[in-house]
Amino acid sequence: MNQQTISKNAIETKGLGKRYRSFWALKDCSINVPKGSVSALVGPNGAGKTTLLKLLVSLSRASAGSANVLNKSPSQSPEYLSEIGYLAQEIPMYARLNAKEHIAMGLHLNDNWDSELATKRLNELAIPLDRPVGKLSGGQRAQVALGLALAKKPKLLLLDEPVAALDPLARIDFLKSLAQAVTDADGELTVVMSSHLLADLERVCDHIVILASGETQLCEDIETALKSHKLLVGVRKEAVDSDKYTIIQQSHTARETTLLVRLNDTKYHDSHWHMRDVDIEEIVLAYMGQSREQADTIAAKGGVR
Amino acid sequence: MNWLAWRQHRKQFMVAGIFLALFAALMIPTGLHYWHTYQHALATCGNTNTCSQVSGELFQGNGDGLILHLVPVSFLFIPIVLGLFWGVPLLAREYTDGTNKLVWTQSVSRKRWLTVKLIWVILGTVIIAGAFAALMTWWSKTNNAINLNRFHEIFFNTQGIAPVAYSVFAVSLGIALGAWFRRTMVALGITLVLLIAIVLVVVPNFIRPHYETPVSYKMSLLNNSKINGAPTNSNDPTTNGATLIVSQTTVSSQNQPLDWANPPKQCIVTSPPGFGGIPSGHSKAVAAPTGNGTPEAIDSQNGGPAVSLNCLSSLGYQQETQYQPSYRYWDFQRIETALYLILAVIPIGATYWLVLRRDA
Amino acid sequence: MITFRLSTHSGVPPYLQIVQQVKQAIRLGILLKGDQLPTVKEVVGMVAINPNTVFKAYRELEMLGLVEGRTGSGTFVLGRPAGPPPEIQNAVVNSLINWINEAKKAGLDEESIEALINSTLHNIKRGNNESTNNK
Repeated sequence: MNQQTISKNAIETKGLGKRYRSFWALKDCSINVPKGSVSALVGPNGAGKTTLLKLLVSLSRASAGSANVLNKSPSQSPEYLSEIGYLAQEIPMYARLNAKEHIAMGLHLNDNWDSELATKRLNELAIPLDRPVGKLSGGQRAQVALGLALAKKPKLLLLDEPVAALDPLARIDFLKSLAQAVTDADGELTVVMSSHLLADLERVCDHIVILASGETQLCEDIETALKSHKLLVGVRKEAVDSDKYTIIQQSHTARETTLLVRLNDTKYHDSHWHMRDVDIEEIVLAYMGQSREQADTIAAKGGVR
Repeated sequence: MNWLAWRQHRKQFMVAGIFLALFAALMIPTGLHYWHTYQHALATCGNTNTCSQVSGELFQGNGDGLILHLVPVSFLFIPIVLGLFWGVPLLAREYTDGTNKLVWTQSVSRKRWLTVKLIWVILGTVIIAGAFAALMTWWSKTNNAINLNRFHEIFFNTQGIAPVAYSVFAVSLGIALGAWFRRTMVALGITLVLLIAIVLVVVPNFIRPHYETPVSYKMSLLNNSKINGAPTNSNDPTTNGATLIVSQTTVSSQNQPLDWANPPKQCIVTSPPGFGGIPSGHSKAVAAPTGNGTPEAIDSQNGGPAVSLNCLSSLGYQQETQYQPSYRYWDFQRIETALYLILAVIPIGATYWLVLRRDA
Repeated sequence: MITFRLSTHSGVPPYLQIVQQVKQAIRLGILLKGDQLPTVKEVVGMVAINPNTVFKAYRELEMLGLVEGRTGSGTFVLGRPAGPPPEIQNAVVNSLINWINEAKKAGLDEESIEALINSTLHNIKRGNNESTNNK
């Protein structure tokens, strides 16, 4: 029996997996997302981001492993769902109903619903409340959907590529609304947001989960990740993982070897290497590239582990 | 949840209500007109001694004849239309628009969501289909009285209580297939085919006739108004449209059915007298005068030789008709209603399974 | 009131950009002693940024002694950043102009000059870091 009572994490998964027939859309996913963090969920298409979010909001059932979300196991029960706000990738809404009616719907479908908050938020954004949402712009629809998700007063907000279809201005507006909601919640709201737009994630998020090839590559504070990942440049040599660092990606020219490593010891220093800081984009790309190499190797060996 | 269900589906209820009103606007005046004309004819036929002809002569004009058939035929499709336009989109739309992901992540269990939706739509179906069936039943009373044909598929399927059950089944089937395929168009096509097959073909032709053991009626092969214009016998179920004919066979005195491909040799007519026999491909009985002038009936079925019915008759063969008598009409309505309501449980159960167990 | 701008491709962490912009504003006299900094929510609404980043920047500014957080009412400017008064800054700027002119005469283009300054700054910083680390 697990002795731990209330976890510091909003999400804890252990070996979580989802299989569709013989294909694992998500495999062995073990992550911890701390309460109050805004976590970026990144990875290439098909890495299992959507699958993970659906498992967390109980739209899918896990084929393997377990998940603990806000100290509960995912289920279809109202008690579980009431604490989670979710925005599906295509931002689905009833096209013929207007924002006001969507808010009314939320009021009828939730016990702990803040119609006033949602109305006020949308009014501030000058979104016409009585136009059918199918006739709103993509940015306005996304704002309405976010407003609905927030009106639930959730403790966890799961956003599946919410800004993917938006123009740059609408995207920034959306992120502003999100950041303000996080501020208002004063540490009580945890957000997990998947996106391909790394620059956006870097400004809004303080935690990152990298999925690739259906597996977790990294799950860490962004600050920690920036400190622990370095670029090592030096005279060409075959480099292997050591107890000091793990190589995420390496590249060679005739004379030079470049490594992107994760340091096990942040004080690591070796005169062979010139050490340089990396930004989050470089880290993400390195992990994505690494997983692609692995996939290629597996394919070349003609099998799956 | 009730709020959402009503908000989502009120439009379709309104549309159905409008259609009901349109049909009522057509049918209430015509229904009254038919009934009064019929009553008037009955009241006055005694004077001219033409009461036996009232049924045959009323409403044979183009306009009335058309309405009397077109309206019931269009009613045949009401359950199918409900299945297609109320049943199929109910969940298929949610899946295609992704709105299932919106409602399933509110604080309402999928079970409750589905239950409320089903209750609204099925209740609406019962009300609308019930109203249409009641209108049809009332409107048809003249036709039923004149033509004695309410066991006929077109009329049985559109009157009484069975149409309500068809509609409930059709809507349930549409809902389940919509949930299964998650795409409206595919589900529409398959629902349409299945409903036509089940409601209009298989059940009326192959299942309905066997709800109860049929009654048997035997008569002479020659005493047949269709063959030789013998006077109509009111006991003859083939001339009484109010019954449901299950089968018609020629049987021997030992109740053995006649093998038309291999009939008693002495009855085979090798060169039919008179008109030169039965045109090839014809299986209907043909009357032909014999050499001495008395009519002789001959027949050929299943590609067998032409056979003299006079001969068969003298060997003791009779025509046996198995039929469901008209007094069983309401029994059959009830049985068919129960059958469809039980059938509807299958798609409804499947829908619960699909919604609760399958990933969004 | 100060308006923040955030560049995501500068390589400078967002919190540091805020710190620098506040410093700059105080240095240039846009923010005066006693002025209130925008609330975290206002900043967040301005630039779409994680509120913790703003908290972190304001904490840093507090540690530098430039601002003061008063519970319940906000964050206020205390005074100018440590550093030489404007006259001395002007003198430094003049000598920098001279140096740049010299560098141009020597055949360096602007890009090279910039790279030279950056790498020199970087090396000096690294030297300092290592010496502190080695303590």
